[in-house]
Amino acid sequence: MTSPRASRPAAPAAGEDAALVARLKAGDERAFESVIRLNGPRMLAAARRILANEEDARDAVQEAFLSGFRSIERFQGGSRLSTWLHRIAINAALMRLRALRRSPEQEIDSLLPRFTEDGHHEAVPRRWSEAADEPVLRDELRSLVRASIERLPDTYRVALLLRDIEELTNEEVAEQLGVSVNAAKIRVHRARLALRHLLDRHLSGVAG
Amino acid sequence: MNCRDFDVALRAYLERRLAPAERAAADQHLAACGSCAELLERMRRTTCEVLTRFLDEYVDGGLASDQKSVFERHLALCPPCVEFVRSYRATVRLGRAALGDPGALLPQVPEELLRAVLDARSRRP
Repeated sequence: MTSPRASRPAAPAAGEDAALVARLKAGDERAFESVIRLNGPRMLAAARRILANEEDARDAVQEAFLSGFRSIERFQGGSRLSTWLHRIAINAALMRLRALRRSPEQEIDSLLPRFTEDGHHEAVPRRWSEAADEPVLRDELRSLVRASIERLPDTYRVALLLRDIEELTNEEVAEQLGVSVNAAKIRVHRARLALRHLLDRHLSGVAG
Repeated sequence: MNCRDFDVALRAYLERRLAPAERAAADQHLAACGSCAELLERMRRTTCEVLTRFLDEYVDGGLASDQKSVFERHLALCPPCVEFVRSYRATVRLGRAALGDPGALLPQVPEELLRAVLDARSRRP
């Protein structure tokens, strides 16, 4: 399986990155435009995954660029400019999501696996259909997975997006969510278990 | 019975399928061998529930090697857990495949967004 990163457009090499940052620091208008064109699509894709509404996603990315450009003087080059901006976009989207959250968070417990007193699976797991192993998802399965991720409570949905889709480490997820590494790991794991549960009845051939 | 024999007999021991004489030989070995007794104890403690609790670390490669080997022994004995692990891995892969946008397919940044950022920046440099 190829890494999803492999197909992304190549980021500028470290030297080009440094030159671009120097132009940003000098206030070069063309440099700002290049940075937005180069990084905007990926940042917008991440914001769209976190926020359901297109307008909110665009607002979050706009905020992220402005916030990044305001603090460009502090950018040290310890990470790539693209990585740094991507994290800022995720952060802006998460802040917006928190501000938008209206209803109290749903419970996830009903979506987690259950065990007998002696530690066996209450419902014996069954083999999933081969459709789950195909490298390119059929449209129907893609819609099912997307809808199932949407059904996860926000706290868990976001943890899963950051870890498995944005491919952050557990430490980075913890930092973005402002929780301990252990809490972040538990959220990611529960989110995967819950998503597995939601997909199970469609993929294990058990009607229900 | 030595450690190697016990290792071979472990599954049958746990599943209570050993003949009485073999079971007695295994028990005799266990009484004398701390490491085999510990392995047996760890296997007993590693239920499907325990395996599920630490499955993220198993799948992400974060388990210590001795823990990993106990998990793998459990999996060798437990087809339901094999299916569970398989579907857990598939879940991660499906999430990625359904939501991950290959860069080549990403649309360009909307022109209004680009202008909005540049305008806002020039108003407040």
